[in-house]
Amino acid sequence: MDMVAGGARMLGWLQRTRTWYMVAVTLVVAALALTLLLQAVTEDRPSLFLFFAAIVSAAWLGGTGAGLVAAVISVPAGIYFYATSNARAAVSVDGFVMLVFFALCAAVGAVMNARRRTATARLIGAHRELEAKAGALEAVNAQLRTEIAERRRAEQALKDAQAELLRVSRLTTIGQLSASIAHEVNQPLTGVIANAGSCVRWLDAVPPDLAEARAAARRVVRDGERASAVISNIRGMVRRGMAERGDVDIGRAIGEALDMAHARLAGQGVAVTVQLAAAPPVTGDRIQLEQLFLNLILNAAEAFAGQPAEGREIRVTSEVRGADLLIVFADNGPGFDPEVAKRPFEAFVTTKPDGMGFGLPICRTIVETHGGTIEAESGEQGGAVIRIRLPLNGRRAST
Amino acid sequence: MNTGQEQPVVFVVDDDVAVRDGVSSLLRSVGMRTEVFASPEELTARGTLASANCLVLDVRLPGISGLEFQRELNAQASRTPVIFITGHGDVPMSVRAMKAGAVEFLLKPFREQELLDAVQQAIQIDREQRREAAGLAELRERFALLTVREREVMENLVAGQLNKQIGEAIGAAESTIKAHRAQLMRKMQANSLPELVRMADRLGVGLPPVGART
Repeated sequence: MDMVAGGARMLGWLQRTRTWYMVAVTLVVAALALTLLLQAVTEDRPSLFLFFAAIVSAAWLGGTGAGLVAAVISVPAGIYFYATSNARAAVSVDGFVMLVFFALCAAVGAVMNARRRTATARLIGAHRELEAKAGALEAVNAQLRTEIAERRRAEQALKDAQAELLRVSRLTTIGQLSASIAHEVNQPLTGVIANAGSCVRWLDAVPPDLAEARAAARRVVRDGERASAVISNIRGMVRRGMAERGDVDIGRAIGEALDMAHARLAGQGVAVTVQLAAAPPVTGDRIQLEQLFLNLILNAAEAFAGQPAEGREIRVTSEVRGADLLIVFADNGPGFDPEVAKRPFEAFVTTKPDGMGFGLPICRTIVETHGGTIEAESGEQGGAVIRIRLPLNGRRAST
Repeated sequence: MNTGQEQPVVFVVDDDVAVRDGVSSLLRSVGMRTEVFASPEELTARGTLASANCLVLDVRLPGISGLEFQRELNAQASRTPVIFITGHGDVPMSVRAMKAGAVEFLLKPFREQELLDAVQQAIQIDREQRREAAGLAELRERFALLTVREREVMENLVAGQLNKQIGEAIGAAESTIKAHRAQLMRKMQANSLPELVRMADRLGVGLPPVGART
C-alpha cells in the first residue's frame, strides 16, 4: 500500500514538475546546438559558457530540480566536446578538472538560484500581506479617529446644553420670582389704593360718613401691612440663602452673570465692556452675587428698550479701595428719572411701564447681607451708574 | 356723584379680600350699590347677574377663570358689561377679553379714577342697552295688537308697495287697505312711513316682502 501511495505521490510530483524539466532539457539542447554552431564557425575550442547559461536559466525558471537536470545532461555534452575536440586538445587532467568544476558550479548555481527565487517570491508575498494588513489597520484607525471626534462633539454639545439649561432656569427663576412677588404685592396694593381713595370720598361726602371712612382707613393699614409682610418674607428668603458662604471670585461671578444674560444682551444689541482689577475673593454666596450682577445687567438692558438701537453700552469696572472692592455698572441708557433717583432701592419704584420695581430692592438686600453698600445715580453723560462696595476677605459681613 | 334716578348695582368678583373690600368701598363711596363674590361659582349660586349694571371680574380665579366665565356669560346672552382686573395681564389676554366684549381691562394696582371711569362707562352702556331692550319690548307689545290682515298690510308697506299694489296683491279694495293702514299706524304709534319702516326693522318684520304675489 505504501509503495502504491508513494508511487502515486511520485507521479503527481512528476506531472507538476515535468513542464519545467522539459524546459530544462530544451534549454540544454539549445545550448548544445548553439555551441556546435559556434564551433563550426570559429573552429576554436568549444566554450561551455552556453551550458552554464542553460543551467542557470533552468534553475531560475523551474527551481532546483530543473537546474540539476540541466546540469546532469550538460555534463555528457561537456565530456563530448572535450573528447571530440581537435587532436591538439586531447583529454587532459586539466580539462577533466575543468569539467568537474563546471559541473559543481552549475549545480551550486542552480541551487542558489532556485533558493533565491523562492525567497524572493516569499518576500513579495509577505510584503503584499503586510500591505494588506497595514491598509486594514489604517481604515480601523480612521474609523477610530472619526468616532473620537464625534464623541468629543457630543460631549461639547452636552456641556453646552447643560450650561444653557442652567442659564435658562436661573433666568426663569428670577422671572417667576418677580412675577409672583408682583402678584403677591399688587393684590394688597390694589386694596390700599381703592380703600384710601374711598376713605377720602367718605370724608368729602356731605355729611361725611365717618364710620365708612374709618373702616376704609383700617383696611388701608391691613393691606399695607400685608404688602410689607410679603417684602420682609422675600428678604428673609434671600438671607436664608446665605447658608452657602464661601470665597467668591467677583470677576468670575460677573462673567457668569454676563454669560447668563448673553442672549438678551445680544438680542438687544448691547455691547458690554468689562475692566476688572485683580482682587482677592469676597466672602459670600456665589449664587446670590451672580443674581445681583445678573439683575443689574438685565435692569440696564431693559432700560434700553425705547432707546435707539445703536451705541447701547454697559461698562463694568472694578477696583480695590482699601479693604473694599468697588464695582461699577454704568450704562448709556435713559438713566433714572428724578422720581426714581430719590429712592431707587425702594420697592414699587420703577420707570419701566411693566416693571415691578423689585430689581433694585433685591439687589440692595443682597449687597447688605454681604456687608456692602449700593448706590445709584445718573451718570455725568446720562445713563445709570450703580456703585457697589463689597468688603474683601478679612472683614466679616454683618448679618 | 349723581347717577340718576336709581342706584347702579355693581357686582365684584375677586378671590382676594383686599381687592374685594377696596373696590366695593370705592364704588359705594360714589353712591353705587355693590355685591361682592369670591368666585364666579358663588355669584351663580347666590346672585342674579341680570340685576347688576356692571360686573368687575378678576381674571385669575380659583376654579373657573374670569375669561372662561365671560365666555359662559356670552353664551347665555348676558348683556351685563364686564370690566376685567388682573394682577398679571399680558397683551394676548387683554386682546381676548376685549374681543369678547369687555369694557375695560385694568392692571392691578390700578388708580381709583381708572376704575371709576370704567365703571361709569359700563353703567352707561348698560343703561343704553336696557333702554334699547325696553323700547323693543314695547314695540313688540304694540305689534302684538295688530290683526293678521294689518300685519300683512304692514309687511307690504315697509317693502315699499303702494296701497293699490297691496290691494291687488292680497285681493282687497284700495279703500280697505287705506283703513288698515291708518289703523296699524295708530296701533304702532308711528307718525310716518319712515318711522314705521324703522320699527319694522327693529322688530325684524317684513323683509323680504311676503305679499301674496304668486
